[in-house]
Amino acid sequence: MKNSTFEIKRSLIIFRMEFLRKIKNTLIWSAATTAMMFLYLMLYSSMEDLILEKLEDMPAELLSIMGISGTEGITNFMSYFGMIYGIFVLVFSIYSIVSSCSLLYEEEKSGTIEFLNAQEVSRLEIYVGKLLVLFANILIVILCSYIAIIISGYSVAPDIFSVGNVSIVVFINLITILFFAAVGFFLSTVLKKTQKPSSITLGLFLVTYLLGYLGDLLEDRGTALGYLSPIHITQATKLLNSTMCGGMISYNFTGLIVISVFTIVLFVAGAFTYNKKDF
Amino acid sequence: MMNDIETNNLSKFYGDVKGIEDLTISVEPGEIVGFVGKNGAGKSTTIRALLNFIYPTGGSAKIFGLDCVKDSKKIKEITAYLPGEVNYYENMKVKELLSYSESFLPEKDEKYKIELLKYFELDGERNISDLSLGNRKKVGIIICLLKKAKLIILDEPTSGLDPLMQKKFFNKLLEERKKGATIFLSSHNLTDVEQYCDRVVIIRAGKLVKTLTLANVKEERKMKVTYKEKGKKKPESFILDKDINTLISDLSTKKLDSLEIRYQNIEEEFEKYYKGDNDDEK
Repeated sequence: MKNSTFEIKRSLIIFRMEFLRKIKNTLIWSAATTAMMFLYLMLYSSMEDLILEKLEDMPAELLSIMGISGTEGITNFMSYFGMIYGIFVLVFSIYSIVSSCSLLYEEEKSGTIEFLNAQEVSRLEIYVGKLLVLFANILIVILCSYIAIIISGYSVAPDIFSVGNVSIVVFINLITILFFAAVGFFLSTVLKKTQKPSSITLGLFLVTYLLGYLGDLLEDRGTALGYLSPIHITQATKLLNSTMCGGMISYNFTGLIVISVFTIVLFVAGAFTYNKKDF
Repeated sequence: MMNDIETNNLSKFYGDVKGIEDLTISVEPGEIVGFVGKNGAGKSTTIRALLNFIYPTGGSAKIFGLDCVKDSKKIKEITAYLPGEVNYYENMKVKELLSYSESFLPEKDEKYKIELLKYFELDGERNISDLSLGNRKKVGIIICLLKKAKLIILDEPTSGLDPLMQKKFFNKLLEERKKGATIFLSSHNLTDVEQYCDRVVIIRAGKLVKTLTLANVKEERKMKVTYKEKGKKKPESFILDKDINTLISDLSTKKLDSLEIRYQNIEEEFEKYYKGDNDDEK
């Protein structure tokens, strides 16, 4: 009889199969978000005046929610990118929630977990295999849009475009996206198959987003609410303001560290709860 | 000698709802043991606890002396399992699913796979989503057999299979037993159990009711007499508890329309345990 410790080889078997099963879905999301990102950024020059006009009509509170302190900044491509990327982070977060919740939940809902559990594979190996699929799917979607940003950035505003600043924004927002993926993944290991983890995670996502929004509206009195919103903490426009004005020195890292720690804790805790789950 | 399966006061409660309670059973090496009981009796719960799909709330279970909770991965390496409900990935072909299952095994046996597909008359190119229940069952059976396991656990293996395929399936199981495998199967088909099993474990409401050795049951079973007298509407029926010659002599005085004397079948023997007339018997 073989030694039955954790074998990454078996996780990779699951990863390969699941990745191929989900690839179509991942490519559709990648194509859609990349095309939209490319289109929005490429249209910057022609939309500049139009956007400025629209933004001038908006109340200052609403602009601050988008991380824009004044309309003068929108003439800058990087600020425009920050505003657009902030919207895309919402889309990426929703994708990460849907993707993370489906990986474990669908297997239980459809009953295929019975087949998988009967194979020569431990629950931890199943969990790690699925987790790798989740990371791969999210990275593919983000990476495609990242390439679109670089191409359009150099095409539209080569003088001001900074790959370094864009990379910081994309990387830090990836942490937020992974945080919501971790919440979805963890809830999938805790909830019964009659309870949909995606509904609860999307609800949580919406609530934390609105708390950040409320924090902005309340200004100083609502600062604490902003800390409850991962989207708010890693808001691309704020990040860009920090990178451009203070070389990240002025950026509040505490919130980011908290999100990162929570993300890791949720992924690790998920492994434990999955191991103890009744199927 | 170590038993291949051994449970000791195994219990599983879902909150206040009882799945199984204090279940103590054993399966010896090389046996074919039937596990029978009404729907909801706790058969699948027991099997799922043995395979660590669920955690027991009390007692213990061992397979080949290995703890079903602590050593579940080792157990999976030497145990094949056919679930009662055969759910597979709908967008896969049969051959893809078989390859996926094989990829977890230490070595593949392509020749045996083709042989099994042919034996069970299954087309590897077909999509899982197009398969009937019976054909899905065949896929599950092939996955089980490809593992060449020492212990095969089957949950309702013949549901959905036609009678000819059921016979072929049991013939294959007998071959596996000859090779040294132990088989533990839950079933509602008592005729199959009677025909192929060495012992039967009967469970009701989560508790063990009786363990029967079928050779003894067959030897000890009584005759059932059914006759209908001329002019009477209903036939009389009773279990023969006296000498058959005395019975014939008694019946010769009556004018009969029909007479049937036969050994009780195993289903009739099981029925009393199913219905709960013999709670005290263990």
